[in-house]
Amino acid sequence: MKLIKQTGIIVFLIGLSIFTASIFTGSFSLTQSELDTFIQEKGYKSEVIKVELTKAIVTEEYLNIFEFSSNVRNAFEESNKHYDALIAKYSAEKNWSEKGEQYQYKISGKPHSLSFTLAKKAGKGFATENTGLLWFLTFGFGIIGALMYIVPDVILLGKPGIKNNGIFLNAATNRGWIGWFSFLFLVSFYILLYFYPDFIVNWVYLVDPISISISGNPASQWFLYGFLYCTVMTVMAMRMYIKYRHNKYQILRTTSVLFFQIVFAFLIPEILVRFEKPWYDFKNAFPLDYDFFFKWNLEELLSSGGFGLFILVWGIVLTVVVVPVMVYFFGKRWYCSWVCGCGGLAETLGDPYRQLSSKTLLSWRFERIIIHAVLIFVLVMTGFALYTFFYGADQVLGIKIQTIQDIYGFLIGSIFAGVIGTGFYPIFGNRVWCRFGCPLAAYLGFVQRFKSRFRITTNGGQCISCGNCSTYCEQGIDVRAYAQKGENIVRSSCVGCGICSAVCPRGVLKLENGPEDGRINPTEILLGNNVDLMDLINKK
Amino acid sequence: MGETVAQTICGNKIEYKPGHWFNSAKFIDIEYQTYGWVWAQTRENEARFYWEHIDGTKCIHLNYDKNIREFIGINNFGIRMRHEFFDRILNEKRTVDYVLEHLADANFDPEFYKLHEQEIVAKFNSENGTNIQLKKKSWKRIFSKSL
Repeated sequence: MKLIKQTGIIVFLIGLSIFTASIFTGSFSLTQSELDTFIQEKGYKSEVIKVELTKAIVTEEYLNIFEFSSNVRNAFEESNKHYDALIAKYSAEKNWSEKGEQYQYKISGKPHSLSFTLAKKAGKGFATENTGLLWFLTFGFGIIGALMYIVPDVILLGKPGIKNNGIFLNAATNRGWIGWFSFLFLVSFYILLYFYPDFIVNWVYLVDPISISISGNPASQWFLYGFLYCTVMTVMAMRMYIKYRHNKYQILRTTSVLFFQIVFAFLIPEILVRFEKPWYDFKNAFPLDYDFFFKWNLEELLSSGGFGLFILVWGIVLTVVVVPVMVYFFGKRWYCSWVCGCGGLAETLGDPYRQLSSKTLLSWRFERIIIHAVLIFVLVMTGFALYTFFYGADQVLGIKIQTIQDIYGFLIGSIFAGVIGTGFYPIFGNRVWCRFGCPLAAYLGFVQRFKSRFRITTNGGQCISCGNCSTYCEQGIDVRAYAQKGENIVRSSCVGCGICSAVCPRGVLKLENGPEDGRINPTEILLGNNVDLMDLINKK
Repeated sequence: MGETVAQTICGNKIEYKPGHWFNSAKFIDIEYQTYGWVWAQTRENEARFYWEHIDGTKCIHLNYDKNIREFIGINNFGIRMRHEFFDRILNEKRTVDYVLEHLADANFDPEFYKLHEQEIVAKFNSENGTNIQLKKKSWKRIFSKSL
C-alpha cells in the first residue's frame, strides 16, 4: 500500500513537471496569408500593424512563446505609438478633425491577451501535434498519480472515522516546505492565467479537443481553468469521500458541490455557447458575479432574445429572492458549502489546509472590516454602472466607470479572489476569499446572523474543551468558546461545512435549522451542576 | 464545571449541587455518551433494555425502574443524544415509555445520518409486550424547556 502511495507521488510529480516544462516547448510563427486572414477577421484598420506583425512573427525562425510574445507586444505597441504620435501632432496643430480620424486605427486590449489570441493560432510543436499524448502525460499522470496517493488510505487509515493524526507534523499541511512550494506554484499559476495567458498557451492546446467537443470552439485560457478546476475538485473529492466516509453529511455535501461545479459552472455554460446562447453559470449569484450589471453583459443579454432576458431575470431573482429565502431556512451553508464553486474548491482541494485558518481576534476584526468594504465597493460600483447604462454616460462624479470596473476586476476579481483566494490555501487556510473578501458572503452573512433558522447547537455540558472544533474551523471561528458555554453558534461567517461537528470527539455540535425564537442564547447554559450562572454573576 | 470550587476559593461558599449525571468518551472511533445512572450491576428495582446495531458500532443501554417505569439512565455508543433532552426527562421524572416515544427528539446525530429509533422501539415493544408508538421529532418539544 505504502509503495502505491510513494509511486503515486512520483507519477504525479512527473506529470506536473512535464506540464510545467511544456510551457517552454514549441515554436510560434505564422505564414503571411495566415496573418492576413487574422488581421482581416479582427478588422484592424491600422496600416502599420500588418507591417509590424509581419516583421514580428512571419518567419522561418523558431520563436519560443516568450520571444513570440515579446515580438507581438512590440508590434502592437509600435502601431499604437505611430497613431499616438499623429494624434499628438494634430493636437498641436489644433487640427481636430484629423485628430479624431486617428482613433479608429488604435488597437485596444491588454498586450498579453492580444498576444494570446495570436499565439493560439501560431503554435507548432509537440503540444499542437501530439495533444492527446501530452494530455495523458500531464493531466493523465497527474490524475493517476494523485489517485494512487489518495486511494490506499481507505486501508491505511484503518476503520472509518476522523483521522487527522500528524497533521501538524506534516510538511504539506503545517506550513512546511511542501506547503510553501505549493503556495508558490499556485500563486504563479494564477498570475500566469490572469496576467500572462500567452505564456501558458501550450497548456490551453491540451484541452482544445475537449472544448471543441462540448462547445464547438477551441479552448481559451478560461476553459483550461474550468477544466483544471473540475479535475482537481473531482480527484480531491475522492480524498474527501475516503476521509469522511463515516459521515453522510460530508459525503452528500461533497457530491453536491462537485455536481454544481461540473454541471452548472463547466458543462452547461459551454453547451449554451454551442447553441449560440450567452455563456452563463446559473448558480453564480451577484455580487459574487460582479460583472452581471456591467454594460457589456446587460447589452449581450438584452440582445440574446428570450433566453438572454431569462438569464437577466434569473440573475436578479437569484440574488434578491432565492438567496435570502434559502438562507432563512438553511443558513449560508446552502450556498457556501453546497453550491458555490469557490466553496467547492475550498472544501475539496482545501480540506488538508483547514487548520491553518487564523483563529485570532485580530483576524476576526480585520475580516469584518474588509469583507464589508468589498461589499460596499461592489454595490457602489454596480450603482454607478447602472447609472451610466441607463443615462448613457461614461462617468459618474468625474470618475470613468470603466476605470472603476477595471480596478475592481483587477484587485478583487483577479488578485483577491484568484491569486490570494486559492494561492494562499497552503499557508493561510482554505477560505481566505470566502472569509475576507466575498461580497456575497457578506450579504449571506447578514441574513444568517439576523434572520435565519440556522444554528450550530451545542450539546449542553458535554464539551471537554479539546479545541478540535476551533482548530478545524476553516472560517477561523472559535467554536470551542461557544461549545464550552453551551451557546448556539450563530455567526455571519459560518459556512456550515460541518467539519467542526465531524471532528468533535464527544458529539457536542450539530448543524440544525430550528425555530428562530431563542436561537441566539448566550445566557442559557446547561452545566454540570445546578448553579444558575447568570444569577451568580449578577449577585456579585 | 468548576464554578462551585471557584466560588469557594473566592470566599463565596455555595453548596455543590451537581445536576443529573452525564458523561462522554471516545473509544478509538466509537463515541460514548451517558445520561443518568447505568450501574454495572443491575439493582433490585431496575430493568434493563439493550439494543445493538447489526454492524456492531452502535448500541444503546437503557436503565429504568421495573415497578414505576421511571427512566434512570442511558448509555449510548455510536449515536449522539441531546443533553438537554435527558436533563429534562430526569427533572420531570419521566417514564422509559415516554423516553422511547420521544426518542426522535433525543437524537443529536448530524443531518442525513441513518436514524434507528424505529428499530429500537420495535425491539423494546417485542421484548416487553408494549405498544409504544414513536412520535415524530418536534422542534417545539425540543426547545420548549430551554427557552
